[in-house]
Amino acid sequence: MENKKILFVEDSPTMRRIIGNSLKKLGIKEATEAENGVDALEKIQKEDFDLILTDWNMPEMNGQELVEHVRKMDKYKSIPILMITTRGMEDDVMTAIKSGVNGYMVKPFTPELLKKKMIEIFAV
Amino acid sequence: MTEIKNIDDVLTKIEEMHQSLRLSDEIFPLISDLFLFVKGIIPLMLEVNSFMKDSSSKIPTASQNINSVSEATELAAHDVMDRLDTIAEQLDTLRERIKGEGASEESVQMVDDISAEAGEIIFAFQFQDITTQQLEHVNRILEAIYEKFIAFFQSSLKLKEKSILGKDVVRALEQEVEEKNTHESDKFHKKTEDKMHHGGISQDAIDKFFK
Repeated sequence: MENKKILFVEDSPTMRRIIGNSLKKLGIKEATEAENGVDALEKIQKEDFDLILTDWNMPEMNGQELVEHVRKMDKYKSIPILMITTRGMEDDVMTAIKSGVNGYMVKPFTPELLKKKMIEIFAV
Repeated sequence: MTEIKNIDDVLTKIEEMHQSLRLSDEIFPLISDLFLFVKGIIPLMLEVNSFMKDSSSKIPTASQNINSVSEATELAAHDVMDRLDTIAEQLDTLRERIKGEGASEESVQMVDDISAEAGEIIFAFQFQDITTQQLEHVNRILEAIYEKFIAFFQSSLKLKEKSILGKDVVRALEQEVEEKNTHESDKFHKKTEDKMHHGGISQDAIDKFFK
């Protein structure tokens, strides 16, 4: 897992810092941050990533739209995507699954849960 | 044409119509009733309108205050996280130092535990993002209400313009209600006054009052 390249998409500077710290503690060497879906799309066109962690509610392009865009790209058709959001309704989870996410976490989450989800995703 | 100053003038006008047009005794009570109903309902609606005008004028400030709360908590959260990062770095240094000096495993473990606690505190700052999103939701609701208010005022203006009688009646009623409501409006403004400090008086200026 340590050698995987991760892109995390978050509009909140606080959450970007928290997720960045967590990834560092998990031993991830290469983690890139994006502020919203548009920023993320620009970054994935320039670099290759092994996993995308994304928030849902973001300005310009939200996480669900981002997932739909990514799934249409040949290069990223099957990249693992983990959604981390405050949206905790069953309908939201279903919508995210239909869009193509591989995992879903509701905020606030623990570092242990993030680690567990990432292990699960990379094990598949 | 008699000038319409209040709803009683409207009823007088109906009475005049009754006399001149010889409205049947069946229709006349109906029209009279209708206007009595209007007499009761319009001031209520105008009162609501006046309250909505007062409330809606507060919405942009309330909305701005909500944004300020988000910004302030974000700054404070980052300030605390900066300090925690510094503590974590110092703990790492301390860990290496005591380990090098041959400290017991228990002591090293204690430093690790404190370090882990600092990490947990940083993680707990997720509350900042969560509350910001909740406040943004409140803001969106306020904006939607504000837009509805504006649409309501515009449609009520259109309604007034539709007929000369309507214009006169509404104007007369507005005047009545406005006079009655001035006191209520003052009370409302007092109750909902924004008492926060927004770049108003400086500390120096305050201190001068005590000299």
